[in-house]
Order: sequence, then structure tokens, then C-alpha cells
Amino acid sequence: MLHGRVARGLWFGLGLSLLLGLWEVAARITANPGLFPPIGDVIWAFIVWWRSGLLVEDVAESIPRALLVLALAAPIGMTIGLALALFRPVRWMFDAPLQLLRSMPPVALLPLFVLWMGIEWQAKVFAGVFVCVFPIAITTAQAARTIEMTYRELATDLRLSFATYLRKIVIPGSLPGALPGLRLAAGTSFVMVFVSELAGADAGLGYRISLAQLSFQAALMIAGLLVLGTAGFLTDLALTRMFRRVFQYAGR
Amino acid sequence: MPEDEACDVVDLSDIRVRIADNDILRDVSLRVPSGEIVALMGPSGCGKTTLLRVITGATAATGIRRVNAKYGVVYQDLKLLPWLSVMDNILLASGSADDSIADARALLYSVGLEEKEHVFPYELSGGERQRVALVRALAGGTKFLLMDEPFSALDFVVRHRLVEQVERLVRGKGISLLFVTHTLEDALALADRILVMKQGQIVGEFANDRRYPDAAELTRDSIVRLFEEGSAQ
Repeated sequence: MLHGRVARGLWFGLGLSLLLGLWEVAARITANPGLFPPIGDVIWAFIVWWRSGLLVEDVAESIPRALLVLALAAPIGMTIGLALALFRPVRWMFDAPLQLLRSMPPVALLPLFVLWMGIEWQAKVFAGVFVCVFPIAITTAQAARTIEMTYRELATDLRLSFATYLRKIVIPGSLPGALPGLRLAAGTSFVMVFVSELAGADAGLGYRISLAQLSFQAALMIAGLLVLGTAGFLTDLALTRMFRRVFQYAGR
Repeated sequence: MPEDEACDVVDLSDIRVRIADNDILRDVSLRVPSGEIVALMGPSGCGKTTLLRVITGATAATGIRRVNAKYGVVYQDLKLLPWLSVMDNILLASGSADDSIADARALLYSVGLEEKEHVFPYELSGGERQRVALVRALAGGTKFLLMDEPFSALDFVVRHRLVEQVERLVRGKGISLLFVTHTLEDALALADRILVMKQGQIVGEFANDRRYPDAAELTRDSIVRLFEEGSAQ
């Protein structure tokens, strides 16, 4: 039996070749490279896209926007989450409306934001932030309530001021719990970037994919999707790593 | 004896706690004089922890409740903050003024943890964590210590040493102690007085004079009998 990294690498390679093999077989069976291109075509489309310089342009347009959305949504969502957990009146006032807003499909909100703010980048960022705040707020609130239940008594018995309680107990205790919400939000932010570029743009991954669709370039569409997927995956990985580093104490 | 030493650190009378039509505590009266060590025993669910929480004010009760001294609590689950070092856990309430740090260091030294000041709770053994919680509860001039099953989940040797350390600290500083325990040995080893609770009431009170082993034997027998009565019902 193989152990550790080598075994893991081998299994990973096996899984990947299995998926690629299935793809290749499906492409041969359908025998319509225009609609269902084999891997070779997709790789070629990717290389052409890269060489043209448009790939860099598209990535530079879309990815920073997704990250900006996340960077703005995180502090807003965490603050709302803490307020919901700590102040009952806030919870009573805003919990139900929040649940309602959260239940609206993010994509469905976009037309309204476009109507309000046009198709400039501000509209796209605003729409992204608006929908990304909810998962972050809700997971932060849950984590903060657990902290409240565990440590409120301690804070009272030690006669801690509210500021100290917040700074030393609630914030460091709750923020690690925001990670699942942040990961959800990261996924959503990429969805929003993609969709908002369908609504009007002149560059970006979403724009490129929709353009490729209009010109029946399935290979380029798939290449675009793979780039988008990879960016999402790397963001998720970075978030998880960062949280593990910053909040080393979580889970101990 | 000076006036403030003579008074009770806690004075409860006719305390009653009702939750959803159940009496969790009923007609409980309790006085703990300054410097006394009191053990609170009784079957699970008899209201021991609730009584501690009534004293700290965490559980609302009817009746008269007076707490006349700065209290500190060692919780059953300790409630050490995993993201703070040992020292920061202890200084939570007092802040990092020089004399607070000196006070904390002296306490850490007295329980043999002077080397662990910068260590995080997860790096400590169970017994060490218990002692950190003890130090945190005592820091800042605590005069009345409340402990909820402080010695459970510790092995024999650690437990024995901790009981000794608690006794030395508490007696040395003239601190009153009220502790909940399931172990008769701990109660007999440490307490001046042992209270037995059952179904929300204090049903027995025993002086525990450790100078007379025969008396301790009698106390033990009486308490065991009281417990057996409960389980026979």
C-alpha cells in the first residue's frame, strides 16, 4: 500500500485522467466538435485567447471585482452579524427582513440594480456586495450567539465592560465562524461577476463567455468556464488558508 | 475581630427559583461567613449549580440575596479563552497594569505555573487548565470563591495536589469558598461545613471538624445514609 503524499498524488492523477477520459469519450460519441469540443480544442482555444492578450485583460477585469466585492462584503456582513447576535432589538427588527432578502435569488436582483445604477462597475460591485453580505452576516451571527451562550456569564462575573467583552471575547471568538459564510459569499461573488457582465460589459470573463456563445465557440466558452472555476477554487483555498493562519486557535 | 471580617460573604434567605412550573430551588437559605469553606453535595440535577448561579446573579430568583464580597468563579467547563494566553486570560478583568501583572504572577507561582504565563490553554494539561481558571477567579482581590465541580475529570494525584493548593491559597488569604462536588472525599478533605441538597432544597448540614477523625467518620456515614435515602425513594 502506498502512503501519504505519493498515494494522494496518484489517486488525484487517476481521478483527473478518469474525468478527462470520460470527456474525450463523450466528445467522440457526440462527434460534433463545434458543440462539444474535445479537450485538445479547448486547450487550443485557451492558448489563442492567452496569446491575443485578451485573457489577461478579461481576468484583470473580473477577478479584482470579485475580490473587491468580497473585501467589502466581509466587514459589512460581520458587523451586521455581530449586531444581530448581541442586540436582541436588532434581531427582532431585522432578522425577518434579512431572511426574506436572503431568499431572493441573487441573479434576480441584478436587473433592478442595473436600472438604479446603470451598467458601470459600481452597479456590479454594489449588487455583488449586497448579496454577499447575507451569508457572511448569518454565519457570523450564529457563531457570535454560541460565544454569547458560552462566555456571557464569564463576562458578567468578571464585570467586564462591553468594549472589553467585544474586543477580547466576542470578536476573536466569532470571526472564525464566519468562514463558511465567506466561502459561500466567494462563490456568489463569482456568480455575480459573471452574470453582471452578461448584462453589459466590454471585457471580463463573463463577457468573453457570452461573446463566445454568440459566435458558437464552444471551446472558448469551456476554456472561460475553467478559468472562472479555477479562480473560484483558488479564492476558496486562499480564504481557508488565511483563516487557518489568522485564527489558529479555532477548533482547539 | 474587625467588623468586615465578621460579616457573611453571602447571605441568602428563602431563595426560590421556578422555571416552567418546576421548583429548581425551594426555600433555600445559606450564609457563608468570611473565611469559611463550604462544600455543596447532592445528586445530579438537585440544583447545586443553580444555587451558585443565583449567588452570582446569573439566574433570577425570588427571596433575599446579599453578596457582600468580590466573588470569583471557577466554572465546571472552566471557560478559558482559547485565543488568549494564560496571562491574558487572567488579566481579562483587571487589565495589564503593573500591579495586576505582579498579582497574577504571584498567584501563578503559588500554583506552580510561573513558567506557563505565555502559553495558550490548549498547550496545558487538564490539571494545569484547572489551576489557570483558579488563578483567574482569584485575581484582583477576590474574597469569595465559587467553584463548580473543580476536581472532576482529574486523575488522583493531580486532584490531590489541587485540593491542597486550593486549601493553602484560600486559607492563606482568608477567602471564603463555596464549592460543588460529587466526591465525598473532596468535601471531607477541604470543607469546614458540608451541605447536602436534594430536589432543590438543602436537606442536610454537617460540620466537618478534621481534627477528630472519628467525627469525620460519623459525618461520612450520615451523608452516605442521606444519599441512600434519596436513591431508595
